[in-house]
Amino acid sequence: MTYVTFELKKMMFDKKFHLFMLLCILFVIGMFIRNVIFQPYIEKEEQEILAKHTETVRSNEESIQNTLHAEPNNEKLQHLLSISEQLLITLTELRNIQNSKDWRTKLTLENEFLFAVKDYKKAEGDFPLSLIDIEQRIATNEKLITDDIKPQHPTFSVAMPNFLKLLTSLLFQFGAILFVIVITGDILSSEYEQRSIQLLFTQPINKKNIITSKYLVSLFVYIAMLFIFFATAILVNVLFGKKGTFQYPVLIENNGDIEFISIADYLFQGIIVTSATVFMVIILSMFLGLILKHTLKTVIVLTIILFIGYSLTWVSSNFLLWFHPFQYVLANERIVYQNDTVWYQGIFSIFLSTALLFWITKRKISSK
Amino acid sequence: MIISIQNLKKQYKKEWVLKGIHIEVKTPTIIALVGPNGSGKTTLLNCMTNLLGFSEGDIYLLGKKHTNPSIFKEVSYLQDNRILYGNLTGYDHLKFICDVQHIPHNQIKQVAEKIGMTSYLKKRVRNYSLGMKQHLLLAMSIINKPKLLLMDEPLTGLDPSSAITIRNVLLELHHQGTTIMLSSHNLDEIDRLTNTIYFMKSGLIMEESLAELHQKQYIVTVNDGEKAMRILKEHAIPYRFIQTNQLSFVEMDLKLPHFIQKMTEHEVCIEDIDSYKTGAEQRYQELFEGVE
Repeated sequence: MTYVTFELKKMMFDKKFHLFMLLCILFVIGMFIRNVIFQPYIEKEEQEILAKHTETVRSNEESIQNTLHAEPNNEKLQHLLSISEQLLITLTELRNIQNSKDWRTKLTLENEFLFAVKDYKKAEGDFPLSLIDIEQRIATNEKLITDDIKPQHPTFSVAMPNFLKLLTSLLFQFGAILFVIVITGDILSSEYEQRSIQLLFTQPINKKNIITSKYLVSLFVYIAMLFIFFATAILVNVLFGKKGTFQYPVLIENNGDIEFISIADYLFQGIIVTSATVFMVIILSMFLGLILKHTLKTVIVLTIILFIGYSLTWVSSNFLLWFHPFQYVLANERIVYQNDTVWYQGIFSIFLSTALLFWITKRKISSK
Repeated sequence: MIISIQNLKKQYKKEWVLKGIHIEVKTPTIIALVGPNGSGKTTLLNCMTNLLGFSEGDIYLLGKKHTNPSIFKEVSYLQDNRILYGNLTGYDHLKFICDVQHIPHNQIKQVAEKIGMTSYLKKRVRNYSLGMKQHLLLAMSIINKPKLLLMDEPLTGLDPSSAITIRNVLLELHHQGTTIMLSSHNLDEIDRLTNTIYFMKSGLIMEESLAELHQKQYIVTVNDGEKAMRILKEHAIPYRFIQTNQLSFVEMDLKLPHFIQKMTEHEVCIEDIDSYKTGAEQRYQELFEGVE
């Protein structure tokens, strides 16, 4: 315990730790300010999209009419023309209620438009929206209407749950792991580089305790980072943001089907799998630091291992994923694409790997 | 036995850095390790504290195997200042040692006062001068009142007053029964601290410098050198021929008044007497001339 306190003190007075915690706060505030600044542009963006769609539909309609002059009995073209007319009517209605606060009608009309686009594409018409996009947007709109949840912009929302989801998706996409590598990646290797490890080795302390203490301090740093990240995000939202709901749907893909989890579930699953991976990455970086005794080499080798490890996810069968500890390096992907898998299926292998690495690292330092 | 090292050999990248070191220290002493760079001084100290492994041999400190971490309750090792954490204060370092060694925190103040570092004890180490760092390292190594203190270059970069402080602290520790083994290039300071010097060259201890090394020597010029040498030989007094009518002897073998008396009795005229003291520096030059 004495040694943990000393390690903690070393970290707390480390300029790098302060700098990155400050960067963390500034990043969250910066993202929030960005979203606030972009609020007026959200409506403008929607108008532009509608105008663009209208232009596309009109252009297509004109082209169909020209062709129909040459082939007046072409049934396919007649069908496309009728859908185009329907699309134009829906788009006009959408533009008419653009400034209205009745989001349910807007979503209903948008779905009418999307269904029509789907029919149009099925009738071999050309429209700059993919069928997958259309399906996902229809499903999301239906979910929002059914659950009576006001839609939020996917990127520029200032509602707390959506803003948290936006931020955490960055954390879950290597962000948290990168942070831990930068802050604690040198926790052991730098001691060898600066030779300060010799101070520890010439004290009546068990060398294994050095590993345990440094591991606990690294965990503390990670938890502190999460706390600062969330506390800042919640604080700026409470002061300047909107309320929103944690039941807001997050679209996931399961066996090709569209499903939804709530933002609350997304945050829970993301934090669990990312934290488990971080726990393993910390001990892995300590193990490499002990072997290589050089920070840059440690970080490079660690990054390569994580990259190769995650790449194996692409070739692993669903069964093998139960034994794959690197599958959550990009955790967002594993949550959003849960095809034939469950979100927690790599956790056991992560804890097993962590325990094994812990044991090996402790043995290694004792044998030196 | 305070230090027992038997046939210590250390190979590093196919080169033998230590080639069979034997050291036995039974009573509290100050031992100086002297030798050119690369002679194996730091390697020997690092092997003794288990910071380095070795190829052959045995090391026991205070009767315990050197690999036993509990030896560091009674053995301290003053290393170079890279072991210090720049973002922590001197107080933090001393508190850490007190905590892991279960020493009361009031010792920190006492040691700081003794070494004269109270004024900067709570400053961050990154703001310390070289001398301040050496003071802190010394404080860290004596706060547990060790029975054996190993020191690697403790006198490097010190101003005269710091050197005097450290010397006095070491002499006081020695009087209290601490055995001190230090490596240093500062031969004048070594002369002031000890007359037990282990000269190291190419991984071997070449000579344990004994007390006679420090004896006063006389060079005398007489009018009849042959007669003078015959007289000394008759009385079985060791001497050294220097040149015609010039010889030398050490004070331990013959006091100067006795020499004058004997020469006068035999009517040998003394023309000149010169005296000097052989110190670590002279001996070092004799042993290592041309090495560095």
